[in-house]
Amino acid sequence: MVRRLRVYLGVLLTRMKSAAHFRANVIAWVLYSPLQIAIIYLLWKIIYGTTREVGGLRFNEMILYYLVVHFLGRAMLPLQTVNYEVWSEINKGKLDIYLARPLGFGPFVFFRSLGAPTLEICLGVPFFLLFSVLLRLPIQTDPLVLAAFFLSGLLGAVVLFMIQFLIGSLTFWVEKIFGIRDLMVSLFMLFSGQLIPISALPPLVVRLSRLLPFESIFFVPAMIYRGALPHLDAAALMLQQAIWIAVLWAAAAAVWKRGVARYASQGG
Amino acid sequence: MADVIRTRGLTKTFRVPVKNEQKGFYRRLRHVLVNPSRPFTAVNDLTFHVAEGEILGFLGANGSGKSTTIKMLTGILTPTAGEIDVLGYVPHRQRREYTQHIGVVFGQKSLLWWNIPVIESFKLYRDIYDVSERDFQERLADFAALLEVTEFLHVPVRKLSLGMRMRAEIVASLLHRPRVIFLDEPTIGLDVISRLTLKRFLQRVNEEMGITLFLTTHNMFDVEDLCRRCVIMSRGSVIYDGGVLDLKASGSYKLIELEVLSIDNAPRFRRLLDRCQVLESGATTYKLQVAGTEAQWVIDELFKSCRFANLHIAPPTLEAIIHRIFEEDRAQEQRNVETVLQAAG
Amino acid sequence: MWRRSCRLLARFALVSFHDMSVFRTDFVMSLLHNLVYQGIFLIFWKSVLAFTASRLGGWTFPELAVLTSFTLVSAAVAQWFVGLQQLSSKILDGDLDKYLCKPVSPLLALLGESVNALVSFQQLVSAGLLLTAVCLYYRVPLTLGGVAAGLAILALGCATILLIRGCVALSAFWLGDVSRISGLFEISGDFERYPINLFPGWLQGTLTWIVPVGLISTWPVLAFLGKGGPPWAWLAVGAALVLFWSLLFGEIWRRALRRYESFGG
Repeated sequence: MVRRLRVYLGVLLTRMKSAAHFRANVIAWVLYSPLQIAIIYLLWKIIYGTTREVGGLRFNEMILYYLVVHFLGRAMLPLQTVNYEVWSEINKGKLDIYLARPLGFGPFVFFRSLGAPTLEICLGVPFFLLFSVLLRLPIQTDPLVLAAFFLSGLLGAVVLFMIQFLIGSLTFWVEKIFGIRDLMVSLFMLFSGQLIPISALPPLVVRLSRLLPFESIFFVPAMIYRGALPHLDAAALMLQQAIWIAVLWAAAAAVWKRGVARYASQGG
Repeated sequence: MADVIRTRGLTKTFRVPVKNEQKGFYRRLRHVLVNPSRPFTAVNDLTFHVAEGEILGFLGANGSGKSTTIKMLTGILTPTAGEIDVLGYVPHRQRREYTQHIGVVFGQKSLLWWNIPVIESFKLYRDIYDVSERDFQERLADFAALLEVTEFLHVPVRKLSLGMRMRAEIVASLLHRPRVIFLDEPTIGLDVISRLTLKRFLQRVNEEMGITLFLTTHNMFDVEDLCRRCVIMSRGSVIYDGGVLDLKASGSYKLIELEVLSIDNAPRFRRLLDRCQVLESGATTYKLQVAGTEAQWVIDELFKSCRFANLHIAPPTLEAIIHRIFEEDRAQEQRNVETVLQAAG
Repeated sequence: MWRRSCRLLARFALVSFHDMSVFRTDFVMSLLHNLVYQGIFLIFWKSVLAFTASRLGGWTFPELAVLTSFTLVSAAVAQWFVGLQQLSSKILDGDLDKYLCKPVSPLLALLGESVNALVSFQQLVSAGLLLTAVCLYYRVPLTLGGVAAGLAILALGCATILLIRGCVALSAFWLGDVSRISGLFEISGDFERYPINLFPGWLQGTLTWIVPVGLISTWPVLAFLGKGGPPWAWLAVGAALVLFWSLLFGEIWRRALRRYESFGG
């Protein structure tokens, strides 16, 4: 078990070391992020010209929310291609390598896909702090809140991974998963809180989002970072994230088992 | 027979960027901004002609200039100097009218569209070349049956094997009834049977429709089977221009392959080896090349100096002949370089 | 010559319907996806307007919905010119050769072969459905002149942006990797969704003259809705920009070909 973990960690580190990734990442933070955040800033400045709060957030808090979501979004961007990776390996019959060895395909893909996000986070934190200072936003210093935030972010990443993996697994039954995938991306944008904080959405949509796992990915960690949540509520939300992971894991395991059986019976 | 292709003094010089090996930041920066380049002559003073109805083989190693030549003949590249005349047109100047009368097939690059069925690519060709619907259907039926492409007309090109794809490409190039077809390495990567089918088809196209074929290749067997005339290029210049049969005849030497059991007379054997060109030598095997006049003497000495398990005497293959031509050319080049160095130093 | 070019382009468009690439999803699914995706943004505006007394600087919800739908229309137009962005990589891959030895204009053919008529059609249908639904439900007053002007400004704006993209892509021959610049362009496309006439003046100017995102979103929509005065100004701006960028593009294309020639591809 320990040895297996070491293998997985090795895979993670290899992914991280790519110099080209490093350079591209820094450039993206320096060039693209300021533009994206500026657009958000300018838009909400106009909106807050006619109102004092939106979805329970003041102007500053809203900008901070979007900054946190931007940071989380960048960190989790590499995870958004997991569905394609899974599709590709199944489609090209490369699954055989994994099935013939005691290496779990799921865990392998998971650890492989953690490499790039780890790099993103390491590079992103200083930029995040820089933007917070430039935009005169409060920086969270409470260690308990920060710990909860990183844990919640990690849980959110796992939820995203599981959803991506599930969609990729559909390849066993459907050759072209990209229609479903694109649909999911749209729903993801809304229900994860990436487009607008969930608290600002119409009540019907809010009720719907409670039933879906997406808000665990961006909205929950962002709210925790804000630091305005009572400890119990924060803990409850993180428990909710954990439950979603368990549910999705069970689903993924079941789907995978059925899928592999079908794959093997069709000769790969 | 009228000449279909005629070139005189055809030259193409490229500008090749000089590699940045500057030391120091400002020197490097200046290098990048100035972007220096040096001239590279890919084709040098090429003069040859092709008569109507001929099949000409253009042989040469990679970098010999044969691809550049075919690109100039098809209007893709503009020559730096010299005259070029194909079917009465100057290819790069009258591209629109000229290309209506030629067909082009690239062996290493597909001219068909990747994701769509073969028949859709054909229809695109029909529209590009302005072929009437009736002619299109007629020719499609003929050629498709001949080259056996009918069975995969509705398969996307990316799903075809190389052999199938090449057959489809050739059909596509014939749909507008060109007078000349240029083929750049059409048999590269093909298995023996596909190659044979292709060559047979090209022969029929040439014989029954009188279409002139101009093909480049570095496969000697293509030239041997298909062409009556061939031009050999090396480093931008022609080193042979004549009939294939003449080329074979010029190989007035023999190839001797032997497997030696024991050497009874070592000095005699060594003297023998000195009189030949040793192409290959292993522990007990030898491949020797010997001038036709010396062959008899060599064989006599062989019998007197050793005992062998196997002895094989053969006339040279076209490949060997051409190989020798390249060797001679390279030796000539070496001598030229030495002369220049001597004169300078 | 024109007739043949049009026929060739039509054939390329038809071919894109036959495209058997594995990423093609079926028609209804794509339609659904387009509607859901734009629907998400409608929910965004609905949410925001719930806090701002149903108006944002003079824009009502149906008007913002029209703005959202217009992004689909500009995307539909863009599908016909996707090739402009891929030009330099195609030339570097040697794709130019296969057209240089045929009686076609290589530029037209390179652009034509990337045309995605099917996707364009899907987006147009989705946009049509959305616009019709919004305008009927909210009884948005439209005039024929307004609609025509709006679409004309949109066309000019799309043309400009695509030509700019083409120039940037071709400049890769001299500047090397230009993906950063095109990346910036992509992101400024986000401005498309927002009413830029509410932004500060300097930004409006930038988004009209330098990165003409305004010409494919806010200005045509205002003309479409018959708001913001007569559309002549925007039409003139659009025409001027198209003229300038097409001349520049033509020049860069000629130079790129010459460079391709002399460096042997």
